[in-house]
Amino acid sequence: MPRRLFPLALALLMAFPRPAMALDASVWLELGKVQSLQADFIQVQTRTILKRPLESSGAVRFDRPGTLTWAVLTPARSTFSMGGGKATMELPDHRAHRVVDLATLPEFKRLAASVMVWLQADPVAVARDFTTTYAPSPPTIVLIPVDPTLGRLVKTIELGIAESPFRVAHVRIVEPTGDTVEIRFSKVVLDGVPVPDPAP
Amino acid sequence: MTPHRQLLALLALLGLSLAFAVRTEVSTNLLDALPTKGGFAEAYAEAQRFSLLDTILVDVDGSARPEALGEAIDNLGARLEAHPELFSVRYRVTLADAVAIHNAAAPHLAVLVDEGWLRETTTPAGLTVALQAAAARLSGPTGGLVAALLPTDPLDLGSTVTASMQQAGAGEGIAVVGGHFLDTTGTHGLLLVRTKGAAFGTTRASPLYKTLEAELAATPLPARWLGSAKFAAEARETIQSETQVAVGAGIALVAAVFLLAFRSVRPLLGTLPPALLGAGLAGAAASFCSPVHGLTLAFGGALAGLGVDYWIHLYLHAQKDGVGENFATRLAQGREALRHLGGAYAISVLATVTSFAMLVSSAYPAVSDLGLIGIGAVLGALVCVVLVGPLLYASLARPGDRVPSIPLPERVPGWLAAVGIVGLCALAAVAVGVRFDGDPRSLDARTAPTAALEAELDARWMGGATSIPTRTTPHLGTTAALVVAEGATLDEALAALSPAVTALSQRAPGVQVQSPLGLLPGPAERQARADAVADVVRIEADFAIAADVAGFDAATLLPGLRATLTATRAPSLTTWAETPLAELLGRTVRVDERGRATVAALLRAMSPEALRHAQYEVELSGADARFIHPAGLAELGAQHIRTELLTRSGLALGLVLLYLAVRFRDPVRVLAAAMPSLAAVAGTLGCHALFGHALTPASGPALVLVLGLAFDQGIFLVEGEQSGRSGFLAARAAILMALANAFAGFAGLLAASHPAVRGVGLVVTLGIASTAFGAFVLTPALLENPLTTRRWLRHGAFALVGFFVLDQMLALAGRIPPPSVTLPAVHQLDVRSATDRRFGPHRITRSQGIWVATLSGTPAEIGEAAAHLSGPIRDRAEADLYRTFNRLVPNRFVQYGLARGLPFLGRAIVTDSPPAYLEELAAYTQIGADPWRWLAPTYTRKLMMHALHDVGQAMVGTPMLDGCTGFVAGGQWTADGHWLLARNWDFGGGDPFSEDKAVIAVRRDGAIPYVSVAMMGLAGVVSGVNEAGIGIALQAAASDSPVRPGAPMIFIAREVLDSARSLDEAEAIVRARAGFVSEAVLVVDGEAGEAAIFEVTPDGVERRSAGTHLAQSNHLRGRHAGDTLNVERMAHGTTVVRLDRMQALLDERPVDIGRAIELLRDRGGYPDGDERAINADIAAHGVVIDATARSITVGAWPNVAGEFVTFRLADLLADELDGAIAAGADDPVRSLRVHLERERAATEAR
Repeated sequence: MPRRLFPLALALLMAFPRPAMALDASVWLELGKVQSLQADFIQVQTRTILKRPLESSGAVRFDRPGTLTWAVLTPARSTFSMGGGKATMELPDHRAHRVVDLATLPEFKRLAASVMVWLQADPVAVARDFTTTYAPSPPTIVLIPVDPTLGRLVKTIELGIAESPFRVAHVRIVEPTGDTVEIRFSKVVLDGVPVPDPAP
Repeated sequence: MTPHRQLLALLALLGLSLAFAVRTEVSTNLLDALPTKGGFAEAYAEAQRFSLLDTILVDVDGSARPEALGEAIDNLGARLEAHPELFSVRYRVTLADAVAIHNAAAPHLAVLVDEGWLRETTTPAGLTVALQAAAARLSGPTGGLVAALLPTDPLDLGSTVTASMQQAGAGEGIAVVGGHFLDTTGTHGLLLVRTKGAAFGTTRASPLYKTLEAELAATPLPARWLGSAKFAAEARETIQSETQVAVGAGIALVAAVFLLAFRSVRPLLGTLPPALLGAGLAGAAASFCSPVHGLTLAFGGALAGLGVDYWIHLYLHAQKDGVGENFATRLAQGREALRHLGGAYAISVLATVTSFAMLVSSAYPAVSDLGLIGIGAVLGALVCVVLVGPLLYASLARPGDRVPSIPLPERVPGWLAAVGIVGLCALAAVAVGVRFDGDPRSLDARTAPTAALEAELDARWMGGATSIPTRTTPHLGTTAALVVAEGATLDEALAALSPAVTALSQRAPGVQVQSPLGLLPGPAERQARADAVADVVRIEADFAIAADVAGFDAATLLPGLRATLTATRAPSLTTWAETPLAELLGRTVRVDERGRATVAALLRAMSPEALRHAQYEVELSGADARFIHPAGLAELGAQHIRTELLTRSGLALGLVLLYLAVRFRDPVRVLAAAMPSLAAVAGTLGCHALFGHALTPASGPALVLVLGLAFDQGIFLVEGEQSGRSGFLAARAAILMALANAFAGFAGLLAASHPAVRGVGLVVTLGIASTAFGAFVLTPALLENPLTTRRWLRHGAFALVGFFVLDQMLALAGRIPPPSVTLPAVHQLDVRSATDRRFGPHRITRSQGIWVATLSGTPAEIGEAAAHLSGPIRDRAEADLYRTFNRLVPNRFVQYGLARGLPFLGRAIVTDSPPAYLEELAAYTQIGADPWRWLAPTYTRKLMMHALHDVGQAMVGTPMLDGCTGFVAGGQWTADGHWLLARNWDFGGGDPFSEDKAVIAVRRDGAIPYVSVAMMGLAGVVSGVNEAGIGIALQAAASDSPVRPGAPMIFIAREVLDSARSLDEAEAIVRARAGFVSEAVLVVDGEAGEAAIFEVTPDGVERRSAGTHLAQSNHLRGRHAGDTLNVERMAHGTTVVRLDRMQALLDERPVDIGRAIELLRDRGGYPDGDERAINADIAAHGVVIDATARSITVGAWPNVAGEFVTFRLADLLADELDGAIAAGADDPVRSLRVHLERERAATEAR
């Protein structure tokens, strides 16, 4: 190619938008590039043991490789954190503080990691623990547990994917009892860069 | 009988005995040597049943590849689990374990949860909290788990139960990492293997041993194992090899002795037939008690050597006047000698058989077998000598053979005999203190690598607690124990165990308890828990309201709640069958086919001290349960040996003396014949006592063997003397030969590494040496020079009587006559439990681990009541004080000097002390038996104990006392304006002062009521406060003022509390009494609001105002500040550092009781136990006195680490004896660890 045509070709390439990434197993590689994530969340649980759906809100922060803080601010304060080989649950209003050494319970650690697999975005763990279905429109990933222990807790995990940049925008967990948990994220900050909330 | 027939008869006998002997089965299993009946056997069986003795530690070394450790543990654990017929294995905790436990517990939750927790949780407030917490947890990322569990367990009891049960079995120093048991470095893993069979039977060929070795060899990482099975296998090999070597060496040495003495092999050949027939009949006897332990057989075989003695006597006696020229003459000589020795043989064999017959009834099979074997050996040898002895002599002796001359004088000076007898008397007196080590594991042996491995694994996995070598248990783990209870049903057994486990969990720090009660609550616990949730309707109503508020649909949760609360069905053994807890139950519960149950709590203490305290708490709990631990086993075994040895040896000695009396009919000859035996007993036991060696189940019976040997020598010597000089010389030569042979045979055992084998060697060699002294010095002296000997004996007796008279005169001169006191004797002691004793209006109980007592009335009434109430506490304290005395003053001569000398100080004490206290003490000493009366008269001794503080300070240079740190504070320097006095009483007088400390409220007629803390039976005061608000504490000090015997300081302190209502009055009392020694007396006046420190010396009293706050340690700061002793103490002691620290902390901010406790617990950044710290973990008590509130806040054992409990004087006087907890415990285990380090250092120093 003549040297003068190269900038032109480049300009042409840049002039056209990149096509949407096909939603397949490679999505985990994209999601896995995120080193830190923080966001506000609203979680709605619909359960038979509840009089009405329980809405809670708070903030989540994740730092790769495996530090997670899940802080619920309403209706009751609680903080769940994992990291350094320990899981900590704190209920400040009830002066309850429980620390579990995950190293002593490797199965529990794996269970917890499986539930939060969408944050870790570990393709090996996903392939090992779930049967995965990718739907392009709306971009959704459906995870069905393979492990029966996890299967007793979770029937499916649906991850709603947002693009630009790639991230999990909402999660819907369906339990074997029919109970559901929906989590929506807002004010997402990826690797220190705020991401605009998608249009409602 | 013709010689031919004699030979034929011998051969027939030999053949017959060998035919029996070959049927004997030899065992190396110690169980075959231990008692099968009696207390020891029962305790040992229980220790075996509950795997106390049979736990094997498997250590996997991952230091080279830490990342592979977990996999290696799993790999090894799985392979060991493949041998369920040999052992069970515990090596990891898994989530599946937790799920299984959770599922098993689910139907019984309300029965498994603590009653207090249930009551609190089911109040309206508790339910609200529980449900709101559930809602909060529901919002977390593990909400799904919470939601799944709530419908069946709305109060989340399951997680509480599961969490507590999962901890079962984890020990101190063991971290659970990745589900595995790792050490603190994370480089070593632990597997616990419990053997199915008794470890004592193990050999290297046992399936258990071989399997372990094979599986461990196949691990990818190095793994080693340790346990009783290894010790048993090694002991077997050591015993076998060392006994074989010793026997081989013995035979060679015996041959050498013969060759050296006779310079011919012929006499040696003559020993063979009697030795062979002796061994043959010994073997035949053994066949009747087969299987016979190898140790028994080895020592029994040595007994055949006794038969050699009969031959030697015959051989030498026959040639005493020259050997005949031809066979016939020699045969006649032999027959004549046999006729002459017939009497000696008869009495000798009677004596020896009597000795061994005493052993036959022993509870130890090893010992009873030895008795039977011994009888066989002796009879065999004698029969042989009687049958063919003359024939042998005629065949072997040659003209020219002579009785060997022995290098010992024929005549013994009388004075030497007298000195010898006095010496033996002294040894016999010392022998009373001989120790017995009855622990069967003292027969174990460690090879050097195993001993090193034991030390290493002990330090890694047991916190080093079991590696403390003690004199009584040189290599035993002393920190494991069992509490065992029985019942006709499982419920009965659990109910019996329950109080003990409750006491252990509440008041035994440093002790891990595994009991079945957590999994199988007893009837009392179940009832209490059912009562706690009995009002289901009310709870459901409150629950519905709380659920509604928390956002739950109550209707979906109420069925689960009702099911949980009403599920009163008790869990059973099958409940836990599918969980890892089944293994724990398997070790702690036994139910026989009739339903009779035995349950056990397994204890693992961090130190012997912690275990001893645990035992005390179990005793005080009133539980109908037995406390079993290795040291206890050893004590039981020792009692057995002591009883058996003393009764049987004594009986044998008595019978033999009777035979001798019948035979010789002359007291001097009887005494002469018995001398070697008496010397053997006194010498052997006395030397053991002097050098601190204990007799074991192996070495104890060897004493009887020595007795048998010694009887023979005395008898032959006296018989020889009766047959003339040549007969006497021949007997002496034969005795020397016999003793030399025995010595040669057994001396090799002294070099053995096995303690049991070496112990036998020691007993026999000491016995032989003593026998020789008796036979060559005492017996000849009595026989040849009776008049001189008697004269010297008379001198010796006069000297003994003179000493006794002088001693008694000294004792009488030192005796302090108690004041005349008439005991009221109007009340009866009412013992309601081990911790609740009442005597009329007087009472003692225990609150939060602290004794609390109230006493009132006249001095006589107070003394009488204190004695009745203190009862067992007093006995325990006395025993402990005696141990402390022995520890601090180990030299017996110095002890004797103190016992006789110190009471002379008592006269000055009596003159200076308030008569009321002496009357109280006199009344106290009139009640109860006094096992220590031999030391000094009871009243005299008790009075001197009240001066222990002063005498110790004056004489010992204060090593026990230089450590008290305290302060006074009040007014603006306390939070509520109250006047406080706080102090640590660092007094090394022994454990009772800390463990049995007592808060005592006293209302004496005519005196101000007061409360103080020290211990029961103390008529004085160390720290206390009276109703007028005067608080006082004593702290040791030093000055150059000469000691002036007078009223003990604790009496002066009590007089202040009895009488003073102001500092001025307190000062007047102190000035009036002056001081025995120098002292800093801290006094506060809660009423007037002031405090002072009186610096008391024998010269006078100096009052120093304390202002609002002032610290005090152990030096004087007034006019005696420059005294040499005070300056030395400041320069070289820790007093200045402690004072500066306390003052600095005090200056920081005003204090209250809580802050005061913090200061008393301050370690100042020093290493734990450093005596520069205020809290050096040595305080007998820590106390905060609130003089304004008239209360006393005392720390429970240990030191200041236990809970601090407040007692108000007014409450105590109103018979409200329960204290209120002012501060929780402060890591008592840490304090105990300091004790452990001190004990270890002291042991190493010893």
